[in-house]
Order: sequence, then structure tokens, then C-alpha cells
Amino acid sequence: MDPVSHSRSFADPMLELATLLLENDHARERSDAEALARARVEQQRAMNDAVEALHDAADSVATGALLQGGFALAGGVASSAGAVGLAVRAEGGTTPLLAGLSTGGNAANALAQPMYALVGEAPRLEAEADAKAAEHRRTLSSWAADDASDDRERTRSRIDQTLGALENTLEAHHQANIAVLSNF
Amino acid sequence: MNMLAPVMSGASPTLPETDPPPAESELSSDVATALLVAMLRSRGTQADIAQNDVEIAQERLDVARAKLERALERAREAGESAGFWGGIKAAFSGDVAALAGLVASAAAVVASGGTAAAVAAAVAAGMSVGARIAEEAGLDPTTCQVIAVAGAVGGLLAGNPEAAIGTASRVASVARGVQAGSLSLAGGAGVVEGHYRGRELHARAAGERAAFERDSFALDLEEALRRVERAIREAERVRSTLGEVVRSHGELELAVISRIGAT
Repeated sequence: MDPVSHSRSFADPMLELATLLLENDHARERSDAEALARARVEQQRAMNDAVEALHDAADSVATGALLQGGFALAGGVASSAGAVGLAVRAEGGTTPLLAGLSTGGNAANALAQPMYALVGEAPRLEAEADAKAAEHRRTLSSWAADDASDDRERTRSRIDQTLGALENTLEAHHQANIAVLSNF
Repeated sequence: MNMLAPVMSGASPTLPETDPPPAESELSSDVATALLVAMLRSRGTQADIAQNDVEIAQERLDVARAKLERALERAREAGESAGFWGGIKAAFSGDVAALAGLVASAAAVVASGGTAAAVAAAVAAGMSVGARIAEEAGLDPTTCQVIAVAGAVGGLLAGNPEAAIGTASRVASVARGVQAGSLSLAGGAGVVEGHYRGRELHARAAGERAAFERDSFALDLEEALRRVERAIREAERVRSTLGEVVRSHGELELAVISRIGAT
């Protein structure tokens, strides 16, 4: 609630000056509050982006491990079947099936690590980079919010000082009026 | 009046009691006094609203703290599970597969018939030593037996190279089967490990969000406490000014009456 009205004109220039200072400080306080609100909104937005990127990184790790492990599991089973089948053949020598199992299994094993690099590691690194960028934006917004908050507190302190000076001036005027009446 | 200390201690803040405004019948009817009374009531309402905001912010802060603790607990549990399965994966893809591979390679060398018996004997001795080391390291006893048997067979073969080729070939195949089987088990363990690693990272991301909410609600609580403090301080100022105005009016009236009475 702004107790000072534009429509009132003051005979005392000091009172008018105090009025102008208070209006200016109130306007600045509103501006600081808006800057603080904007910084907080940007902070929230950056935090949401960072958390989303971290979730994407987690999904990449799980997906990459699934594919890597799946290829290794399938390849190992095929290779193992081919090797054991070869070992138990009484007549010796390999067959097309056993050779295919061994070859296919080895190929699948060889693909396991590159598959993780493609589906897991690369997206994870990209997501973590996005998370870092969002974290940086959050830090900048946090600094802006701190600055706006400090500015607002300084403005409020100035308002308090101005009101204090105004009270002293009004008291002085009152005492002067009493003195005049007493000596009249 | 330091109202920010409860934010650090986590305790609920309490507000000091304030005196009620002077009754309207005690005041004169001029505009300034009426305006000051309205301001005083406004400050009181603002203090009530800010106090309500303090309570809301405190509740939200407590909820955010609990969410953070739960997220960190979930992350810790998932991390422990991932570590367990990671150990299994490392054991099967590391020691077991490597030793089985060593056996397979050595037996293949013997089976090719391209090396002297001395080399085969050295490989056999190395595999026997490896089996003892593997047993001491706590590997699966069956795996150790495979390696030990392969070492013993290699030792026998060293004494009869011509008959060694067929048997060494079978040993190599079995060892390759063991190696491939170990790698497949490692792959399976890797899938489970990856699942738990993903859960751990998801929980940590949730923890980041909860930590941000905790810090944000802590700031809201500080802001609400400042508003309460400010509203009370301004109400005190308005009350003081109102009292001064009433006193000034009284003194002025007395001075005028005294002056009139003196004439």
C-alpha cells in the first residue's frame, strides 16, 4: 500500500523530495522483485532440463548394457555350443552347423562392445554434456537471483531510512508549530 | 529480532505477539489518523499471510528433504546391486574366460603338432600352477579342475607327442566351450548390472531434483520469514506514528486552548 499520493502537493520542498525518493525506491523495489522472479523461473527451467538429460543418460546406460550383454550372451551360447559339439563328436572334424555356430557366436561377441559404444556410451556422453550445459545455466540464473535479492534488500533499507528521516522532519515541524503557538 | 535461525535448525518458526491497534473511539476523525489505522490493519493482514506462507514453505521443505533421502537411499541400493552383478561379470569375463582361453590356446598349439614336447611340458606346468593360483583366488572349483586336468593331460602328451594331437584337439574344444560359456554368463550378468546402473542413475537424477526443490523451498521460507519480520516492523512503525499523531493533536489542542484561555 503506497501511502504517498501524487495528487497532494507539499509546501515543504523536503517533504516533496522525500516523496519523490520513496516513489523512486518503490518502483525500483518492484523492478528488483520482477528480476528475482524471472531469475527463479529460469533456474527452474534449467534444472528441469538438467534432470531430463540425466534421465536420458541413465536410459542410455541401461539400453547399451542390455544390447552389449545380449550380444555377448547369445554369442557365448552359440560359440560354446559349437565348441562343445566339436569336442564330443566321436568321429572328429567339424560340420557346417558347428562351424556356423562358432563363427556366428564369435561375430556376435565381437559386436557386443561396439554396440555398447554406439547405443550406450555415445548417447550417455551427449546427455551428460547437455546436463552440464543446463547446470551452467542454472548457476548463472542463481547468481542473477542472488543479485536481484541483494538489490531489493538494499532498496528496502533505503526506503526505511527515508521514512525514518521523514518521521523526524514531521516531528520537527510539529515541535516548531507548538513553539510558535506558545510564543504567540 | 532474528527469525532466520529456524531455517538452519529445521525447527518451525514462531512469531512474537503484537499489541492490538488502538480502538477507533480513542482516535480523532482526521484523514491522516484514519489512513494510519488502515495501514496498521493492512500490515496485520500481510503478517498473517506471510505467516501462512511460512507454514506452507516449512511443510514443502520437509517433504523435499524426505524425497531427497529416499532418492539417495534408492541410488545406494541400486549401486550395491549393480556392484554385485558387476563383480560376477568381471569374474566370468576376466579370470575364468582368460584361463580357459589360455588352456584352449595351449592345447591348440599342442594339437597343431607344430611344437616340441618341451614347449607342451612348459605349458602344462604353467596350467597346473595357474589352477593352484585360481583355487587360491577363490574361483569355481570345477573351473580349477578343468585347468588342472588340462595341465595334467598336457603333461602326459608331452611324453607322447604323436598321440597328443587328437586328445589336445578335444581339450582345446572343451576349453573354448568353457571360455565361450563364461563370456555368455558375463554377458548375462552385464545385462543385470546395466539394469541396476540405470536405476541408480535415475535415482540420482531424482535426487538432484529433490535437492533443488529443497534449496528452493528453503529460500521461499527465508523470504516468507523476512516478509513477516518486515510486516511486523512496519506495523510497529505505523503504530508509533499513529501514537505520535494522536499525541501531537492533543498537544496542539492544549496549546491552542491554553492560548485562547490566556487572552
